[in-house]
Amino acid sequence: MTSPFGKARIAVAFLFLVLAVNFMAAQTLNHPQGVSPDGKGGAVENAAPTGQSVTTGNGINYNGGPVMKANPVPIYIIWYGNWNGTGSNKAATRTAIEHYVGTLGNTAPMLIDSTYGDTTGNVSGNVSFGGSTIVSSSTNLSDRSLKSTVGNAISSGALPNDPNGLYFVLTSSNINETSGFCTKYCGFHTHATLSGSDIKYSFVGNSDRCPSGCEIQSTGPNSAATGQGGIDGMANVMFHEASEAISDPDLNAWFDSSGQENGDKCNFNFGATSTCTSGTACTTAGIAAGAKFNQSFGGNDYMLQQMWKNAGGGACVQHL
Amino acid sequence: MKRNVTFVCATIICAFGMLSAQTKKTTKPAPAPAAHQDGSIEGSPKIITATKTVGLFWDMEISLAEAFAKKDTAALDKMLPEEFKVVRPNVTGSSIGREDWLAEGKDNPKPTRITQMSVESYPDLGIVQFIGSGPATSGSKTGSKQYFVVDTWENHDGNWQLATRYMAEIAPIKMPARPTGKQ
Repeated sequence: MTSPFGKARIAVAFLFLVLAVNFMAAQTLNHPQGVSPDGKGGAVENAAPTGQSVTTGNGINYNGGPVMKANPVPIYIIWYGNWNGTGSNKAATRTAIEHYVGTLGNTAPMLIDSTYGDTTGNVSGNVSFGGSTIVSSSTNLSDRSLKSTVGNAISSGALPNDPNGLYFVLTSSNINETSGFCTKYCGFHTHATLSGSDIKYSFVGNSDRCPSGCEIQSTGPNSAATGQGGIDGMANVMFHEASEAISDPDLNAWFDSSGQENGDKCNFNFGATSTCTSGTACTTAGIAAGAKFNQSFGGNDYMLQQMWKNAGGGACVQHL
Repeated sequence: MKRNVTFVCATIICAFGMLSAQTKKTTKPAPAPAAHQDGSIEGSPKIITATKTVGLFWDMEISLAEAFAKKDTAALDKMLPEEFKVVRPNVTGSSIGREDWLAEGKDNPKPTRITQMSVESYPDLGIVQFIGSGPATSGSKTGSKQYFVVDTWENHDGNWQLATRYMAEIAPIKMPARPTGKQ
């Protein structure tokens, strides 16, 4: 006759076996590459490192901070000022820029950014248009009120709270940014803690406010009329800021010994160009002005500065 | 009996250990680096895209500083007209003419390093402002001084010339630890 304790021993041993199997299975649920918050209360797995993520020796230095690795990086736009006004301050400009952002991902110029990475992975080179909101105002911005504008857009729910995204504040040409738009800069990027998240944001003003300072040509390939170069001027500066914000979002990742980021090293350096003629995707005004362009995607032509490639010794290039 | 109790206890302890291993290990996201504190009325840390005109005048100011350092007469003749003058705070309130300015001396500081440039540009006039720094000798000591400089450049048929330099020594400004390029 089997004793009760004998039966108990068998049951315990079986329990041990079951738990041991579960223990082994639990090992494969770990995430060796880690997860990051997705800004929506959940988490997404970080991209696994792809080979040597941190490549150096190409004229730009890695300073230890993170890059933006989302695929795509959502770009959100806050239209500030009067975008139902005159000149290039119109709804057509908003449509054109949002189309530009929506088609910029994985293009030849944007993929140059994929040569930058951190210890956990590389920039994807992909961006997307995440949505926009309009803030009608006639009040100039300061650095402080710019930050508040971004914060308000997030806290009000007009735009999502997304630490993996990039927020642009685009101002109409009647709006100044008092810390130096048009005298010192055409745009800038930075980051701040807003609604509890590390939010990366950029200011880009309508370049028609100061064409001699912020436009390579006063009539561009997407101009609606002669002398309205705002669409192309802003597209160029947005490309500069997006490439930099994605490769140096917290201002502690990629820049050279003089502090220049990848876009700074090629600022207003456009390389080889083509001329708008009939048969190109340029507007009538662009064709009439013989405007220049050097990139074509999404059914449009654009004039975008070159970008510093972190490979092959480094250089300003239009594509990899 | 004792052996059975011991065996059961050991098994239970092992079981609790295995159960704790069931918790999914998720790597806590690294805390975001502390955002810059924007307490300054002058503006928060940011990385700017310099204007085309800042780029243009930056190159000209660097060329001028190099021409001063090398005593490059040809380059100086091209960039400084006869009427060039420097206005600095001094006892007499007089401006310093071209000849006197080009002469060596501790009263004629010529900044060699430029930062924080901004430009108000008009068709034939550029008002360029920057913080300049350079070596300065006081007695037997050599150090570095900073100056607030405003240069007015005039365009004569495509040739930019420096008409007037306004400069004043300033108390040293602590520059950011990270160099900021043309900022």
